[in-house]
Amino acid sequence: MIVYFLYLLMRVVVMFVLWYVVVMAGVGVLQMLYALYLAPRHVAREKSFEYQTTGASGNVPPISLIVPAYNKKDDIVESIKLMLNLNYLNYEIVVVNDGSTDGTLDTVINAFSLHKTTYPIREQLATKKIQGVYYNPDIPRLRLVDKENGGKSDTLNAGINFSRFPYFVSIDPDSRLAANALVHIGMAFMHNKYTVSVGGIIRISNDYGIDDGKGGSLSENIWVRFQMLEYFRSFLVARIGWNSINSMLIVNNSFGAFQKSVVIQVGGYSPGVAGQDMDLVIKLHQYMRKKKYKYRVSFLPYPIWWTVVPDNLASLFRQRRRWQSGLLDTFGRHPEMLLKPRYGIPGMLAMPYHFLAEVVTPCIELLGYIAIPLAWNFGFLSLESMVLFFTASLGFGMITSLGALVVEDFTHPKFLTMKDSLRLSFLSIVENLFYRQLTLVFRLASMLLYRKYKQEGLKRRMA
Amino acid sequence: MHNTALAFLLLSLAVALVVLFGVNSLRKLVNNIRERKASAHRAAIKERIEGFIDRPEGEFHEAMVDFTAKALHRDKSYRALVDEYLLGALELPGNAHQSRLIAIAEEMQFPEECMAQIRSRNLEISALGSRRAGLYNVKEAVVEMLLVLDNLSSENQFAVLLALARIGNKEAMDLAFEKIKTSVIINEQAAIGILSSFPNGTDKRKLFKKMIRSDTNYIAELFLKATENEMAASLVDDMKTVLHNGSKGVRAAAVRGLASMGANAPLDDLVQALEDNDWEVRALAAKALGPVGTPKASIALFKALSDQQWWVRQNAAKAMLCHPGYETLFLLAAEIGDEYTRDSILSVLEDGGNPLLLRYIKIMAA
Repeated sequence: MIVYFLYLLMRVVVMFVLWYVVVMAGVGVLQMLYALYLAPRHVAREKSFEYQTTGASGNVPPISLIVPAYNKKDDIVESIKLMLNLNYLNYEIVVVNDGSTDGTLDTVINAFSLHKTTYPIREQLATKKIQGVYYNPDIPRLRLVDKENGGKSDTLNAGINFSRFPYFVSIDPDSRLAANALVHIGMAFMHNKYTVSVGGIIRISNDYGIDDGKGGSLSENIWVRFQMLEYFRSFLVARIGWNSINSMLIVNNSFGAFQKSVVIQVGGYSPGVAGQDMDLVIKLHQYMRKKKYKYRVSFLPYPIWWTVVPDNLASLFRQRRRWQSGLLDTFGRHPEMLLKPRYGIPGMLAMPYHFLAEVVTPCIELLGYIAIPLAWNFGFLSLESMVLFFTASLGFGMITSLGALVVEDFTHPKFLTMKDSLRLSFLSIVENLFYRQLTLVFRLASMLLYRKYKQEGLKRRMA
Repeated sequence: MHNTALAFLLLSLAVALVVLFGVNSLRKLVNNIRERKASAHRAAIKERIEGFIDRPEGEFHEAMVDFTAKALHRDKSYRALVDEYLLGALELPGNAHQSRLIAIAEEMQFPEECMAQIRSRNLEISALGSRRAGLYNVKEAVVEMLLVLDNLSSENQFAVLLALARIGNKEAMDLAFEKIKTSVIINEQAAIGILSSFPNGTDKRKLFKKMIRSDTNYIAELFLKATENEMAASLVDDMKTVLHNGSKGVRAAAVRGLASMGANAPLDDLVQALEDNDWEVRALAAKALGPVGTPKASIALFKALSDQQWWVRQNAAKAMLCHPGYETLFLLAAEIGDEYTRDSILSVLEDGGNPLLLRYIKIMAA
């Protein structure tokens, strides 16, 4: 009797794993098809924009670029120089040095001949002590704030206190902005006054020049190539879909634009949180829904922001560990939003889906890769069911990746050359046989190591 | 049955993969060929149009008819490139050949295309149609665009209002704002930018005169903020009236409008605005007094240096920096004022004031 009960239980578990993976993979394909449907609309929409006049117009929303810098001596100067040459009239750059120990402060002071000023700061968000403000009247757009080390959230909050304009963009020093980036951002705020946050597509700049990849080529590094595909799938396809129902939960803090007054209302970035970006956006959704205000968290499917991605396994694992811990952190901080009709689609659909896709799926899918062949071997499962599992898990994944490439080509046809596109098409097959499983292992390992990471995180800053 | 379903799934998967791979590669290939052709065509169109655009009227007309007759027989993508060139050229403010570029567009039958696009159920296509109608000055599209305003979409609201402003139809603008006054989606800067695109002239003045007295505060504020230069001078009495009678937002906007007159802004009204109950009005008035470098303005700003609000003090200090002899008043304010007054003065001096004075006040503050 007990043996029969155990047999039944195992069958139920295996069938659950099988159908869970099939359904989630199917949802991925549906997301891709939906993005394919929406892609031409975004192209038409972009054609109705006027970049030349908007970039040169004084009637655009003024934007503060907040650049949190911790030990970024090597990237910071080049990055600021690029930021000083954006196609936009009303913007300022606020670099916030978070008590760097590698000489970042002196590097910036010397590179731009800044001197200490007594510029007053409105303390709307609590932060660590400000040690100085630096400025050069010949470069009026740029100001440098030096503060005690307090972590990324604290640094961004100090930048918000110091910024003068009603909108701000947080940008990492190792990210690069396309020349028209602020025009896109400004237009998103101009077209809809209810927009509280805007995110854009991340493009990978390893070996690529920014703005249409001019002067660059596809990286020879296999990890970078896999991540390119992954970014198309996760950051382009998925977000186009969530954007259409105003349920974006993540606006990356290495490049995200926000309406300052609302961010101050929700208390700014939460200190000591690994996933500040997701946490802030969820706080915005909560606040606006609670108050019953109209609002929009917008996503721009245009390549406006470029970043360098890990090019080896160790740094890739570190990055995934940070992401996964951020996710767990955020879900742990906002459980009240899950499945609450009060929070609309973000609470009823986006949060549960993200929880399933990012936290539950890695465990179940990995369990499936081990349990399903074993179950077939021991006679719990038919051969057809096993084939169905691998078809769904790998085959649907391949379709989603290839489809993401088509969406990418729709929204930005000049980015990839024919040769690069073909290379990535082949890679989208290989990716599902190896890379995707590797990232699942990374995610699972990150979840197992979460407590340790959290303890470490309290002691050291999250760079 | 089970096997058949699985075989069907596998087959569908294989087909989907092949189709996607094929579609992706084919699209890329076609795009590459198209782009190569388009680059050559783009250059040729630019060269051709720039070759006859500034010729005398007769020659221009002849060359234009010849060009458009040939272009109309080309394929859709070629016509799209002509459209792209014309829109790009018309988008540049103050284009000297605006009427001729519009004439080419008319010969190319683009206005008819715009009308069809505006009617499209696809909101993005409709917004694109409105943008083209505005740049090609398609007066016949005004009614269609006003109808589009009923479908609330941010892209459409922006595109339609901008197009109506560019066409410069006062009645249409009036009607459009009447339609959207309780449902404005575009933000303030966008609206101000749109109003600035309205061609200067009597119609614009009449429109602004009516709108700054609108009973909807938001609309009145928008038009006040968009008032600039000569327009501000011709509406000065209306702005003074709302400055004394309007709501808080309207008063602040009126100060902004008066400030756009620069040195000719009415001094007495701005000095009075420095005493307003609302700090935003005071801060804006302080800023507006910068270009008005008279002793009366300097004394009013001197008082504002000890205002309770940071922005008022800061703007007053900044404005005073433009006045002759600001050093004496700064010195006096630093001596009799508190640390907050000194902070504002110091931060302004650091932005480009007298370095000796800066050093002296720093020592005094220490």
